[in-house]
Amino acid sequence: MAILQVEHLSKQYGKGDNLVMAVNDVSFEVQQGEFVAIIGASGSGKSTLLHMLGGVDNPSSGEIIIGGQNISRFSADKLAVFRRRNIGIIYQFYNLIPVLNVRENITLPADLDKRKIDEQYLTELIDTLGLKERVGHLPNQLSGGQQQRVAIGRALFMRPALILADEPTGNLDSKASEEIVRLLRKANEQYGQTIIMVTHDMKIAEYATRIIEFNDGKITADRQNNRVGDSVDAHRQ
Amino acid sequence: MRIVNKISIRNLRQNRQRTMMTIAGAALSFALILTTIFMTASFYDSLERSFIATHGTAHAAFESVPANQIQLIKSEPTVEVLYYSKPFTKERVGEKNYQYYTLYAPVGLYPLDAYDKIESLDAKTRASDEPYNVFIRYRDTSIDGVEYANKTVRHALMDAGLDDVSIRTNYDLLNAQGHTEETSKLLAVCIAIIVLGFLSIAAIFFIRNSFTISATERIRDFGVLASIGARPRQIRGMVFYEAFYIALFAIPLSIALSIAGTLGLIFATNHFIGGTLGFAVSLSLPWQGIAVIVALGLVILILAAASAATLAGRCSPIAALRSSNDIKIKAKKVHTSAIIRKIWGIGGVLASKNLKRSRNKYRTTVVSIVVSVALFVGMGSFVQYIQKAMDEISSQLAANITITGALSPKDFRKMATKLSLRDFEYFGIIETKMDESSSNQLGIRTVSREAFTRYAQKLGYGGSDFSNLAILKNRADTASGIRVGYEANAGDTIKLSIIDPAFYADIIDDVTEVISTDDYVRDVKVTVGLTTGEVIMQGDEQANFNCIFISEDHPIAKQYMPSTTRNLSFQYRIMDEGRFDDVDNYLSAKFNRAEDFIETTNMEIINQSTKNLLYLAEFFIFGFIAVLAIIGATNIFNTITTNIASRAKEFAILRSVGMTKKEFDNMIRLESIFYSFRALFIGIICGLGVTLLIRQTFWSADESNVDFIMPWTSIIISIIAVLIIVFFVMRFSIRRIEEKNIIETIRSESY
Repeated sequence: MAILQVEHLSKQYGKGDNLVMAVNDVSFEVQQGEFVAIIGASGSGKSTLLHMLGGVDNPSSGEIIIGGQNISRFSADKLAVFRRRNIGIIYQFYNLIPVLNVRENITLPADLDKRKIDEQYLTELIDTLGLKERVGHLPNQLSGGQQQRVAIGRALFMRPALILADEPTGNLDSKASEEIVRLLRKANEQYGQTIIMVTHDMKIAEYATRIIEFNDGKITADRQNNRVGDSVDAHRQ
Repeated sequence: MRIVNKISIRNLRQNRQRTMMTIAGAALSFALILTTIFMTASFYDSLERSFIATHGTAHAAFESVPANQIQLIKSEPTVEVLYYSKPFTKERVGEKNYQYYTLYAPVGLYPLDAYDKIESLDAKTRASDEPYNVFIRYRDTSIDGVEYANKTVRHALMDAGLDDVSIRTNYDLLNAQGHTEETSKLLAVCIAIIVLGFLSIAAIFFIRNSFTISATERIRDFGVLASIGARPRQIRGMVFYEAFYIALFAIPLSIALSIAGTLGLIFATNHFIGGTLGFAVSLSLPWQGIAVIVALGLVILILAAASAATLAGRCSPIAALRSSNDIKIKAKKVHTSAIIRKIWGIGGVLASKNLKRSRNKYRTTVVSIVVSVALFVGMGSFVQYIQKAMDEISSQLAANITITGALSPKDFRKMATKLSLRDFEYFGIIETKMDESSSNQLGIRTVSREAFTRYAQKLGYGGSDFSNLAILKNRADTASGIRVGYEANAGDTIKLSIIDPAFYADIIDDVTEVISTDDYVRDVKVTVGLTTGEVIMQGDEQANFNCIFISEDHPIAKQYMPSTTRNLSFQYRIMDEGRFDDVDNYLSAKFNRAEDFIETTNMEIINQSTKNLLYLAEFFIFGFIAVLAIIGATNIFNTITTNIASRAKEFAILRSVGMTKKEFDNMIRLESIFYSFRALFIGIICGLGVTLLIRQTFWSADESNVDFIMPWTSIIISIIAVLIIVFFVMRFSIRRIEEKNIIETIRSESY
């Protein structure tokens, strides 16, 4: 079942001679439970695509259908509510709220949605993220890897239909990067989360079950990654 | 231009809105100082001009100096001879003018133009010994200077054979030109320093914030500059250069604003109290004032920029580039209570935490609000106190004309009949013998029969015989309670020692013999009919406390009221409106007013003048507070807009994780409400403190029945004004960041 359908999606900047097509008439589908890596060079338009999928950037044309709902036609407010319930976004620079501690940052989307906190799930998630000893800490008291784990926790907490990760390891060393990408895989395997991850690092992309190559705003290749286990093991070595 | 200065200017231009607000804040602060200087100068210049117009330009006249000795005065370097006149004699100027001159002219110099002002003397006159008054100006108008000049001239003339020299001094003009005691001068200088100091400190405080905001925002730029080799001095210089650039615009603007402000104040002064002042205030712009504001403005801006410059200069390149200083927060510092979460949800939690985190950034805003609110509430209640006190006075002093002097009740009644006066009253004083040992000494006042009947009936007296009634006023209601004086009740008989008015007749009859009052003391007994705390006779301390009031028909009044009016025992009050000229003309026609000291006062004009003075005071006070509030508002604008702008990324993240516009607005609204209320709470408490201080200072609890006034109107206005200002500035700032694309905002900045 397709959790995401992208149809003729385009994003352009500028006009006339200065026209730049960051995303150029892109269409694809993502099935529930897939772990997709979008890989491409810097400036290829992959992050722009991801942000449009997350509803934080507006497409110039085309449609994005998530869970059967066409988010391209949503008002700003409806989109915000949809986002906190159905989409988890992970950024390269973590983007945590500096005044909220680990626990509060993780539960932020649920708090915004005025939902009762599922304490059991929260404890389990914090354990899985390895942040048990850090729940009361503020972002500035955490390492980069720990901050990114909090961002993953925030993205996972609402059990969204879709998790979007924009270069989640781009600001981390190789050890922390591996930890993060393993966590994403765990989320994919353990909770059946659909994940779309943008990266320029092929090694990181190898953790995904499907790899989409992106170049000049277009999909140039789309393949299943059948060597997920091998590449992960190789990476571990 | 050096590259660092170019960067400074480009930064100011880039942040045009903040720069303009800083210039406006600085210009208003300087204008407040300069307007004070201009207004003072305009007032004193106009006062001086008015004295010159009425009394001439001369500081003094040496009287009846023989013409052949005038050269001695001319040769004195301490004085400058201006012109001459013939001496004032009865024969020359007439009886009336001569009397006026000798009686009133000592306060100034008589206008000379009408009395043969002589510009120069011819050779023949100069050789004669004909007496002339010599009008001079002192070269040094200080007290010592004038004294020294008088001494040297007097010595020179007396050495030349003159017995004595009479000097008539134009003190009004001298005083207007700063001829005062050293202590008064010191006091004036001290007041000037305190006022200018207060305004300067307020200005530094307000402007400082803008520089700190600008420096904090550009800390990354400073870090980059430092990392590529800019010295701390150069970086500090950039901030000071900004201060200089702001001064270039703020100082000329402040001069223009203060000219406009002074013109407004002059218009208001002339409109409200022009009649009372007796002269029109006109604009005077001393260059010294402009010089002061240029120098003081630069000093204020440099001091205001100093801490921001130090902050910029001390910034380490790596800390600045990482902006790590900006986000050093401790969990404890931003701890928020569960109640806030319960009431306002995550929006309230975020608002509360943001506020705690940005405590330093908001401090200036909070203090700006506190100062403005405290001043507004304090001064508002000050005006309310004055209004209340004046209302009480005017309700009690309902008289439109008062008369004092040697006018007998009989003569007054004659006039009342002749002029058909309908509503009047008068009081007489029967002297009592002073008893040093008693602190509760009683006085006696007689009251005109109609008024006495009115008062007795008002106090609840049901009888018909008013001529034997005595009312004892032995209580005073004050704010701290009821003060009780002479202990006596209705029905008690009081023994009093009064002075027989024959005493006054005798001392007038025989001015050579020393007469003691002891021989004129008479013991009388009065039975108290009523006791009261109500005020019956105004403006007489004893009548207000520990006094017996009797009708003019009471046996004691009949026997002991002065047969002569020479001791000035009567006070007349006429309540009829618009009759002042009739009364005044009648008295002038019937009596020798100078001899009988009969003085009339037009209370209608005085009451109106007092009211106008109050309006003017309100105009000045609220104008001053309004300017301070506007300066505060520019500061609030800069703080809030910058704070919101600097948190744009944080807000974008919140929106990216699903915060709706409504929730976002709610969070910002709560944030502004939290700190506005904190500031209002402190400001109102301080304002009430000021109110209490004003009450204690001006209306001591023992002497007044002015209660503590709760300045509700000022408090409500403050709350509404602060909430409106903060709310609109917040909305303005939010609009700007809401318009931005979420992802572009997140990308443009990173922690």
